[in-house]
Amino acid sequence: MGRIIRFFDERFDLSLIRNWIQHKSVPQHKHSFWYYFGGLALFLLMVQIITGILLAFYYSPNPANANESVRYIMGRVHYGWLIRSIHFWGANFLIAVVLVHMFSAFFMKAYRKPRELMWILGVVILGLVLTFSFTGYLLPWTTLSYFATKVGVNTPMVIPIIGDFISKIMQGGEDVGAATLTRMFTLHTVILPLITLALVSVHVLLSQVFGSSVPISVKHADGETRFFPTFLMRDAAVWSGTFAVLLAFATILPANLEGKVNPIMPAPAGIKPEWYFLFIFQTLKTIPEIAAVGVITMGGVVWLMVPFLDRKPSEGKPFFTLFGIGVVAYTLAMTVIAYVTTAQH
Amino acid sequence: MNRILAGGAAIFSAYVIYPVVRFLIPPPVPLDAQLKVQVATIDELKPNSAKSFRFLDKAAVLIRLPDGDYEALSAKCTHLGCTVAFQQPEDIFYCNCHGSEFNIDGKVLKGPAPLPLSQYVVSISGNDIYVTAQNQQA
Amino acid sequence: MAAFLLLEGSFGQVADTLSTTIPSFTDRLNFALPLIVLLLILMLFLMLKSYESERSQ
Repeated sequence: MGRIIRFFDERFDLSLIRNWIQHKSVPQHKHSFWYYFGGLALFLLMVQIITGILLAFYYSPNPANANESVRYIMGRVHYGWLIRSIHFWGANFLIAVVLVHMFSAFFMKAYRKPRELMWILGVVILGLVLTFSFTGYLLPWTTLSYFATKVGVNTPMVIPIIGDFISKIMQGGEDVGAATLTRMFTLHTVILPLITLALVSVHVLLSQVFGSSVPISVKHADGETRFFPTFLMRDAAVWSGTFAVLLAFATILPANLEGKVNPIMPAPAGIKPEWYFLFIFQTLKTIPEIAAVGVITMGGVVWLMVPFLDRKPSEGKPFFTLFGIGVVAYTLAMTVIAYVTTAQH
Repeated sequence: MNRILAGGAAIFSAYVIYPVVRFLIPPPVPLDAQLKVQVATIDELKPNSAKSFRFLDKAAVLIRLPDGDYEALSAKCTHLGCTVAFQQPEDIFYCNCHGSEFNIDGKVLKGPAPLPLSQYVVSISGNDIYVTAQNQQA
Repeated sequence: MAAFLLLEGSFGQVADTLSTTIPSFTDRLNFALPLIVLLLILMLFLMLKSYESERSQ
């Protein structure tokens, strides 16, 4: 190992890296626990990329073969059930961890100067992760996939003037079909990974430049923990534990696979999207569509602009904290209502 | 402690790499899915003509001989796997890739192919012509 | 390429004959449980090692 390092040392100026390894530290205080979620999100993203690449060796993105190829993976390919189930549960874990990471950054006001750009990148990355989930959902070409996608791509139609155009772009035609599947596959395996990896790289780089933010309520940190090797070992411990839980889910509750969709049949009763889209789904059901799309869009923009709207975060005024609690409460309430009302069908 | 951790990480890596490698190796093709394939109907082929079809995941050819009998052969050249072409009026199978030649029964006339083309069993049931692999009984 | 493309133009027929049963719960657990236990042990050792490294700072 020493020889390899010497090889590079003799050819490149490694002092920047050496300095970083020796001096990077993480503040220790009662809220330090939340620092693990960013690294955990990165770990889960890597799990998704690896399992996704493996699945792409067998998946076929056209309606004639899509469902059959997934059934082939589950039923015939060795450990196919495992790779697919890890990919399925990994997506749910990733979204949950990214949400926790985002809300912990919000409530600790980690978006304060100079980290405004990190916040914006983070919110965009959340959007990308949700888009990953939306595009991936169609790929098994089951009844649930098909109709959930139909709802998703038809929602923009309520937007005046450009709504129809946006829907057509998403569908690849007049209706959800073979062109939609190819489009979703390309988005899911090429476009979204490239954009996400680029933005995540910048987000992580900025976290190295600025270090970890300390909440306002913490007047004095209890000290600093060296990142190498101490904090990294703790990071690795969290990743091991999470992977163990992910494996348990994949083993005990393997990914389901329904039969192939028959597009001319009606949508099944009680159809609803996955848990992370339920609050949007319920908002669309509760208030008139165009208003709902407006509310959600404006809400997203306000959320993105929080670092610039919260003018004096260090003064500890509770308005934005209350706003954040309101957002969490609304999201949870709408999710629960959606579950309860669709269960009643 | 370091050695235990390193050992644990090594066992974990092996335990993870094994299913990944196994996953990437394609599963064997089950033969019973292709036991008997209906290839053509009785009067579909004139004598001294041939029809291509897929059998055992490879190209195959059904030939109707000048005397009216049927024969089925693998069309996969035994040299490096290219699909051979049936040439008339010579009535030979010719491989465009490296120049191997086979007669109408699949025997090697000219190399570099080392082995004859595999023969399949042809059976007729009613109006239909079926092909099965040599070691299967119709 | 994948075996489900075997029979010409009959994907529906092939899909029906394909087994979509995954290994049984016991078989799945037999594979995954040792790995899960190994991961939890690794987690424990990593935590212990991190505290040891912090004390020696």
